[in-house]
Amino acid sequence: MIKHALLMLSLLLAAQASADGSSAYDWFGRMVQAAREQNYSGVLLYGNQRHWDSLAVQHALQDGQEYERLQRLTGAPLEQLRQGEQVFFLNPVVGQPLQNPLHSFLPGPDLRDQYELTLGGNDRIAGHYARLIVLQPKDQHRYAMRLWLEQKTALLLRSELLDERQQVLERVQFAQLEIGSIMPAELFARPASEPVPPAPSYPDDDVSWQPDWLPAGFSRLAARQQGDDIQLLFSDGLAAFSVFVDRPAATIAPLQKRWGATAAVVQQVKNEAGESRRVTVVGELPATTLQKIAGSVQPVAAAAPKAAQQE
Amino acid sequence: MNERINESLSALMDGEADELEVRRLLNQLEQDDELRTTWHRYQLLGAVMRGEPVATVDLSQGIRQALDGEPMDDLPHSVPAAVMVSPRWRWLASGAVAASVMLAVLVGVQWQQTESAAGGVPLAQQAEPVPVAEQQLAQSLSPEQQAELEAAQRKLQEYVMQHTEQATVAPARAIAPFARVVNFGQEAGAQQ
Repeated sequence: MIKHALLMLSLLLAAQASADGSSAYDWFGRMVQAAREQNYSGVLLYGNQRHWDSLAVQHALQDGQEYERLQRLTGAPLEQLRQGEQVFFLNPVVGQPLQNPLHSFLPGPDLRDQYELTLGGNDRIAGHYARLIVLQPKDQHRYAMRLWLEQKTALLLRSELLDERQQVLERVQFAQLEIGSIMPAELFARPASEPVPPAPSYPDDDVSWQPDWLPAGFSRLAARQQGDDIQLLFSDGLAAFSVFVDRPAATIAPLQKRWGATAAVVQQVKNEAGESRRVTVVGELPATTLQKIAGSVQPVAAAAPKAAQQE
Repeated sequence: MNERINESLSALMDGEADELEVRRLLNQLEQDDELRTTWHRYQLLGAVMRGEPVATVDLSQGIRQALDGEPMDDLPHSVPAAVMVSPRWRWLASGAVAASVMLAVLVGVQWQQTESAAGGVPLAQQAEPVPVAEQQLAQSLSPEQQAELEAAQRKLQEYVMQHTEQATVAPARAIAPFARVVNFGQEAGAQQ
């Protein structure tokens, strides 16, 4: 009996040691998986200093397919069901699809070039013991993140996006959460309605103006040009920003705005021929970074004739 | 500085300036460094008289902040709202981001410069945005200027929505961007 107890204890200690011995990067990888593979049901709060919203989340994995119900509990009502990649609106039947904040992290990119990942202390969130991991950017061009992961499953319990002075810009947190819960199948039953048409795929066209400077690690995901209107999307795997170039009707004043974690800058740029364009950069990055990107927007010499032909 | 302007400035501070005076002052503020200094002094004086913390009453900061959407350093707003909006400001309309933009365009170049000098981040403890006389400011603009500003505002809003929508779907899927859509939609609604 005592032998058994000792064996159990040593096994427990070993498990503990290996859990602690795994790196912050391993924890991050497990977190990305857990959001897709675990069964969980709870209420999420998200927002910034000024505004909070809440969302009921129910998620299950069955026969390799994800099932998910999201219900917005504050503001305009919206309830949706997701089966794999198909989204159905339940109530009301139209809207803009919601995204589970836990699915904001992608398995693909290795963030270690741009962020220092470290393990922090322990905490307790929504009734679960949590391990903190910190993503500290290696330059000043992006924000830091703190992620609290459930000790056993690595499911995300809380996340904070922090500016350079460690002020929280945005927070997502479970207020209540059940992990490994068994949910009735009818909860995820396919409704009679048609699924929401999938979002169109990203075009990657040649454009006539684009930024000459990008923060390290950012790559272009999409590019589109219609006449003089250009739209570009960039990401480093964690943060994203968009660049819009157009021809303003009048002289425009430089602008800088912020909504929580999202900032926008508007600038006027000119090419060598003196042609001017309005550049708007929007993203979840420090305003100084957005300004630097906006200021670097230039005509693309090679792409310009091609764009002209398309007109 | 001419005495009449000084009086008008004082009237503006006290919320007693009429529409014509506001319009004239805005034009003057745009051009006159000395007037701007006086304007700041009056605000400071008013704050001291009202027993408000001095750092929180710089109107130019409030306007800039309204222009910026939110304070860059997003400190918790510990000062009660009742203190921030003293009765003297009652004539001012509320939720006047659009109006603030107009004012900033009229008065604004120097604040833009201040901002970039500070590395895009305001220096002091932030006040709640001080509401601006929406109607009076709107009237101080020509219909063309007003239309241009409104168009610029709408365009920016549209761009922010587009960014958020795009960033929400694979392969971009940035950090919980759907939260921002909701926030922006509501704030944008409140501005109109």
